[in-house]
Amino acid sequence: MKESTQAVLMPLSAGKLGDRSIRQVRSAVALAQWLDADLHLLLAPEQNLSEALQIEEKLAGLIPPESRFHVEVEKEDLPEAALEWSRRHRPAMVILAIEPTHLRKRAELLPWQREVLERVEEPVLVVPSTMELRPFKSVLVPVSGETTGMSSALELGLRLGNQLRIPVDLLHVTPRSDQGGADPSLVGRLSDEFHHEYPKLVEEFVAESSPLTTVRERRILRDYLHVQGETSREIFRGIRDRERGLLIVEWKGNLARNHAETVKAILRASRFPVLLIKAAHERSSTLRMGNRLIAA
Amino acid sequence: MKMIRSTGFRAPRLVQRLLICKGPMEQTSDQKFKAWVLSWDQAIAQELEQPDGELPEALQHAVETGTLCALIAPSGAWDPLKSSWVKALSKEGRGRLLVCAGEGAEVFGFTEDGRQESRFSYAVRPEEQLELGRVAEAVRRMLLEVGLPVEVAHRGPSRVSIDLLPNLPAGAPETAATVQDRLKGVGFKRGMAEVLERVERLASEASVPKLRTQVSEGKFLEVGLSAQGDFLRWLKGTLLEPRGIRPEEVLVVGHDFGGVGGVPGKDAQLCIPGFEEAVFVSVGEEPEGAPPRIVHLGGGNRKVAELLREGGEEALAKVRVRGQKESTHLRANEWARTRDVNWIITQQGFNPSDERERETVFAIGNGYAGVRGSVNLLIPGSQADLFLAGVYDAKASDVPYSEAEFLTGADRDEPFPELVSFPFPFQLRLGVGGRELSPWSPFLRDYERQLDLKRSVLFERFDFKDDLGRETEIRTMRCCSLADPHLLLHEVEITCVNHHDGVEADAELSDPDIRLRHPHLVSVRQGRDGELSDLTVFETKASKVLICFAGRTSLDGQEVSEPKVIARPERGRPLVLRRLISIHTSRDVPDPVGASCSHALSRQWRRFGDYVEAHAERWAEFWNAADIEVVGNPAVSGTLRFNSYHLRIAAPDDPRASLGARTLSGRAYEGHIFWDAEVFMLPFFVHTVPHVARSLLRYRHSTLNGARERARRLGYEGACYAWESTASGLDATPKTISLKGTDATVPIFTGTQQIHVTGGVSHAVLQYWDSTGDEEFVRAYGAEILFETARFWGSRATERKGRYHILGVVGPDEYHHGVNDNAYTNWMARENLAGAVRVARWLQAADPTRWQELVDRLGLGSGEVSLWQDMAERLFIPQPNAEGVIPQFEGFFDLKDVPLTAEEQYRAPFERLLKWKDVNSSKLLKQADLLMIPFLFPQAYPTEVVRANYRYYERITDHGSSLSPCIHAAIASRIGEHEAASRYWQAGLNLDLLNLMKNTALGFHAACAGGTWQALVFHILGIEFQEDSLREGCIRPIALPVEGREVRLRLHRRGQTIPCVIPVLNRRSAA
Repeated sequence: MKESTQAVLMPLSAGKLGDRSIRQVRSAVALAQWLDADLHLLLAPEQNLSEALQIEEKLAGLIPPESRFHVEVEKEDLPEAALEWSRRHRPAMVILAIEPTHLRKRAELLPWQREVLERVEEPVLVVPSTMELRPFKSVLVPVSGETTGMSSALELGLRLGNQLRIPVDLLHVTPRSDQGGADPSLVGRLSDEFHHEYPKLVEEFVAESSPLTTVRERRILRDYLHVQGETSREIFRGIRDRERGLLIVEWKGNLARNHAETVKAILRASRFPVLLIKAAHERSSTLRMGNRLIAA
Repeated sequence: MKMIRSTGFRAPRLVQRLLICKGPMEQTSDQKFKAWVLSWDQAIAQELEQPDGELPEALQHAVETGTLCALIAPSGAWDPLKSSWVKALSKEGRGRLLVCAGEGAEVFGFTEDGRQESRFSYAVRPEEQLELGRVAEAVRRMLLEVGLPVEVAHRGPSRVSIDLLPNLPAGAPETAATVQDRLKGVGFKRGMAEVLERVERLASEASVPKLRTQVSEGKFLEVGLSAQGDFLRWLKGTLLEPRGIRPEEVLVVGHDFGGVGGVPGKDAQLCIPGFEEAVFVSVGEEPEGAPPRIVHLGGGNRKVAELLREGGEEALAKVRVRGQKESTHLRANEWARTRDVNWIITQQGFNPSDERERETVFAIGNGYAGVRGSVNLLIPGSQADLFLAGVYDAKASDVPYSEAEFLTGADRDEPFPELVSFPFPFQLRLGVGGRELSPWSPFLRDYERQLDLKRSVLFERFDFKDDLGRETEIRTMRCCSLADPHLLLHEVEITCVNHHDGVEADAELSDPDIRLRHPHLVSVRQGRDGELSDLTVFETKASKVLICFAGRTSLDGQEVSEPKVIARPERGRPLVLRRLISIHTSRDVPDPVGASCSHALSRQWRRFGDYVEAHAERWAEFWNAADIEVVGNPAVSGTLRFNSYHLRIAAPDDPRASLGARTLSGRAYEGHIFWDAEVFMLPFFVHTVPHVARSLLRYRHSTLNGARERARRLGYEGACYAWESTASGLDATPKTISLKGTDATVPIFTGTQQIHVTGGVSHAVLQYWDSTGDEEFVRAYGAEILFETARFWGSRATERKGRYHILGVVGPDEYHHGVNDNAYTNWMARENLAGAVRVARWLQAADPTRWQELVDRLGLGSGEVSLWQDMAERLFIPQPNAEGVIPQFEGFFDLKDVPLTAEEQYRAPFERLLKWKDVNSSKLLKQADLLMIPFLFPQAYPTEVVRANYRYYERITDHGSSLSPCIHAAIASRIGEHEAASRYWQAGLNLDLLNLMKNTALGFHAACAGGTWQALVFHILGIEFQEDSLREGCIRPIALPVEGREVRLRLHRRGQTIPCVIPVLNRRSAA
């Protein structure tokens, strides 16, 4: 996510601007205001210019005059347009409003939404269309516990938390013992004196996952919660326990079969907004003792 | 130079002419050096008087075979005609001899027929002599007025020499140091440098052309009308150039180039312009080191004779090496980097996520200070800490989120339980053309970080190319001097490869988030101070320790007034920034600010390379004692060195400090000292650098009062060492941990019940005594430790049915608390009691005075030693059952069996912490417990008993502790289970380098490294000692858990170093 929150993009496939669409746009406008960004509505090509102008006019009457929003009509189809616009303008995030009913029935997103979600590099805020966004009161970031490098979700969560001045909570879910096997997670290993190891391991995990955040930025962290259970269920419970919490989830950007099951479960639940961010590209570094490769 | 008739010298005739060299001066030798200039001190001059001395003979040989020799005699006349060896020279030989007397005032040679004649003489005018006398008298009075007992050592027409401390021998290293101390003591804060400044001020006020001042042999302050450099200039112009002798064909030998207190020595005046290519050699002591261009050989007269005989070859060889060193400057810093790659750890490429772990791996230190090996251009997430051994403070009040989740609370006996972290002393922020360079930017093309284990120097290389095509290379080097523990050295080389845009470098010790990052510190002072580019003073909030960092900065060899520099170097020309940082605390000296300032100011930039060399030499001494090489397996050799390196960099030479669990390389464990120090780490030091072991044991003596207090609070007598301790020895162990997420509170029993640490300390005392024979230590410190700890066991044990039992403890295996008669605890207690008896009896016989003093001071009762004896004999020690297995504690065999899967070894589930009651009633072990006994006492049990216990306990141990693998490796090796030995030993060996427990970022696992070393040396290699040497037959071919042909190491035993070469069996045949 780029440092500056100058633009938020919302692709909108609305032939008519109904109540639901207006509610979605209002939410997007509010979010852009919180982020001190301009909202850019991107309309599908089935709308022609005159319809786009009508929409703009209608919205102008509904949305506070101090809001900064723009309506844009692109010639390509919506996903391509959204992708191209993102590449050019690097928005802080892209907002997608989804229909929970549709998702529950078909168990999948609309094709254009899926394409936007999978292809856009910027974080995507998926918002149930039935929900009107209100200011977030906290951020919740689920973590896997394995130190696998930089966590885009954690970095994003810390930056948003600092920007919006809202606390950030980490949720660490580990399998229950009755689920068998050794616990692969960060704090699942006992080592030496646990009262010394655990707090520091948590701090180290956070620092290693967000190495480009300062100690001051990390002060926005409020809770590190370690719970045992099934991942999706515990995430739902975690966000449900947080009024107006923003869930940030890192994912690999692939919604194909047998992929991103947790993300799909979250989208299907569709009762709360979730900010999806793709895993960062890692730099490589090797370690050698003499000529022997130790780590890569 | 004036050529005037002189008066007053003893030479029979004066000649006013220039001599153009002919005849006897013609060179017939084909030696490398066609001319030698030899500056004598009094000692050398005296030897020249010996008719059959080695030196006169060598000189004779040199001049007779064609070498021109110019001798510069010390102040005070030396008449060559009185020397029999000069008389014995042929006419041709004499023709090649020149004598300079009076520090350049007179030059004598010999005529074609061998008669002495004056070649040059500086005639002193009466007014010059008067003025010289006046100035010398003013100097003498100035020094007398401050109480120095100075005497005029020589008063000649052209020179006066004042002896600052007549009772001290000239030229000795201790003389120079004593002189400095005395001068500072009478008010010259900068010692000799300040005295000389005042003398020069007096001399500059004289009404004659500039009087020359110099210091010689560490204590003579000389004022004169000429200097040695004058002679060399004369020689160059008058004899050498006309004869075509180039400077590189001249060897100049002196003994006092480096001087004292920052003032160059007398012979430094021989380094005249135009003579840079000559070879300069010092044969003196050079107590503060010789300047970089001087080849320091030492050796005095003997060395001069050697050089003369071999034509100066040794000097030439050194010069060639030095040339290689200097020519590469800092680029790759070849001269400071070991050539053997197997001593080098290299990181290639930069991944910010790896940085925390790499900071531990690349840490540097010297026992006084430890600095994490952070990337020099810090990233926001760096934990670039510096730690100082023994500096602790109260726990920071602002609890971070992580500790809120695992809350231990502040309820500890020890008021200062947290090791203090300090800002990174090697701070560097760099910008090119107004744009900051950072390692996470896309403009970083290449990055390399290298740790030279042999020399303990850390190097980095950054190659940047920005979007404007500007290429910039950065090279850095840093070390914490082992030769001078308060000194840190830092060098940065910046090269603008293809541009000449401005470079901004900021090395200021500052941190905008210092209160967050280093919450224990209160800033007292920060900024420039006189000649220091930066002076930073902190105080710890609760413990009120004052810490001073005094920094100096140079740019391209020139001192700069602040650590921020802006420059516009030429394209391709390196810009070199150097930093000297001195650190002192109020734990070291009453005035750490004064000490740091004085220390920093007394360092000389021209000797920067020497400081690095001195540090490297100390490391060479360490490796000479401690290196282990597995011949044929450089990877394992390198890893062993890595582990030994980390042990050494954290070992303090301070009896008030010890080795924390994670050393000075990380914040984890808060710098707390555990049984790790004595049982796992100390044996390494005992057998390699025993003075470090001594210091570690003195820590336990210095914290005896804390141990006494702990015993008292637990309701017992004597001294019981805390499970976790810091500076005072009071208990720093928390009592509970609350887990917020699961709403559970887990009690911590180790603080009150894990008392075997007391036995571990006493065992270490006895082991040290046995290994070193250091009776003085036992008298002064060890006996008291043993008596007080024995007294504790005496009160702690409970008598039951004729035996003594130790109830309600935690052994090494922390899964079980409140157990009775833990085998290891009881064994160590028995050893403690028996050891105390042995020492008591020895002390009564060897030093009755000291014995009585301890009896009186400790209130030892008349029957107390006998009581210990009785307890040692009747203390219950669990015995093997029918299967040979010894119960770890009373009732162990009745506990619930719990199957342990392979996955759970090393990755014990978190649940074990929450279900502590269930675990307590099961047979699961966290780490080796009973197996500690044969680990520390290999002869404790027959092999079949050891085997039975290994096989029984190994399968139920989940190695939740990093201390476990090394024990299992040792025992497995002993009983011939080589596959397991290999697996465990390599796990211990590679724990941190491969980050096997995924927590190397928190700090180095020193106990694991020490235990792995012990497993190798005493179990796998089977080294045993008997009296002063190795037990006969213990060196034999062994099965090694890794590939290799033989193992080479050296071990210290009672004052001597014993080399060991152990051949390796083929593993298949060994099994």
